[in-house]
Amino acid sequence: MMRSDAEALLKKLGQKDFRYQEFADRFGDTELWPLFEALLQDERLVGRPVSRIDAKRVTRERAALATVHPLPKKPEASSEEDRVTPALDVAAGETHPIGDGELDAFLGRMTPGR
Amino acid sequence: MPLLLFHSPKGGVGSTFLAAHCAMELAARGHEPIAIDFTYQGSLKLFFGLLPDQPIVRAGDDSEEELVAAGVELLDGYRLGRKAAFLKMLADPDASPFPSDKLIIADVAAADHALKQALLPHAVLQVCTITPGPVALASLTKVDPAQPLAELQKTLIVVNLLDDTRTLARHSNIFLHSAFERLLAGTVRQDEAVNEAVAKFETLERFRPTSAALADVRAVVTALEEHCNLGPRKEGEEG
Repeated sequence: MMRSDAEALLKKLGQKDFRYQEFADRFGDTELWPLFEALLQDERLVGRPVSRIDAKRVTRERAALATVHPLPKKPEASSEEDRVTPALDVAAGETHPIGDGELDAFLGRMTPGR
Repeated sequence: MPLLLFHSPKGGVGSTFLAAHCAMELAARGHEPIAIDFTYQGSLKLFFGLLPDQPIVRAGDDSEEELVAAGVELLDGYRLGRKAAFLKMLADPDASPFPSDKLIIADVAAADHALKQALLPHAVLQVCTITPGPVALASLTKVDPAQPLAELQKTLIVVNLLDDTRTLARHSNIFLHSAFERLLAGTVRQDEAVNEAVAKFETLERFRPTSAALADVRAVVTALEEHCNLGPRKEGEEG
């Protein structure tokens, strides 16, 4: 949708020959700025990180759960946009801190920084 | 009715702008908000199209006639926020000093952390404004000294002053919406019309009704209404 101020300006100028496009970044295209990584490991933001041993245990348990209750197969993505992995919801519903595995997954979806 | 507390750990991010425009938008939706400016600089009134020398009724002073602008009753709360009796009352979570039938918007300065902490138990929501830059992002570690940000239940973050021509600003905005999705109430784009309206002593709604920032604020207010269960009020509805 066109920005409301841009739309008003074009209308005022009587211009109808413009094509409007917003170039929004996809999550996967964002750079991995070191600050983002530091913040995701900061206990004041995400809580106390679990130890690596705990993280491995959680990963094993999740893998076992996935084996017992496989998730329904998702339909093939129809476009590039559909294939963008949903953002990691650090906080939604659960208040336990982000684990090492989750952090790696989150950071892995961002391209390396400069 | 609830207290909405506007406070950011970082100054200069537009928390006062957001408090003022959320109050005006809530008024336009049929709520009857009272906006209390607890800051020393007292700049909240400027967003209502008022002049810098316009006196504002002091909170707690019943002798002066109320000042209502753009549907919002404005109060100067700076002295009140320093009164021992007021702070003592705030210390009792069961004894709210605010009228129960009003929607209160409190604008608290970034540096006034003590007042923010005193008001917080009485608030239904803290709206934390930040800009999509590294210093503001880092300040998120200071939103609550006792609890990690991700665990806060009555805090919403608004990203303000997004300049979408700037790479880091765009990436910071995406990062915040991705990593702290539950806490994000929205993003308000940078719009020079906000400053121009203040300079002309007009409200943004009157000066530039097509403002991109204004449209973004409306979306933020919808998120606040949903979070606080503030249904849009119909005309003539009581309470």
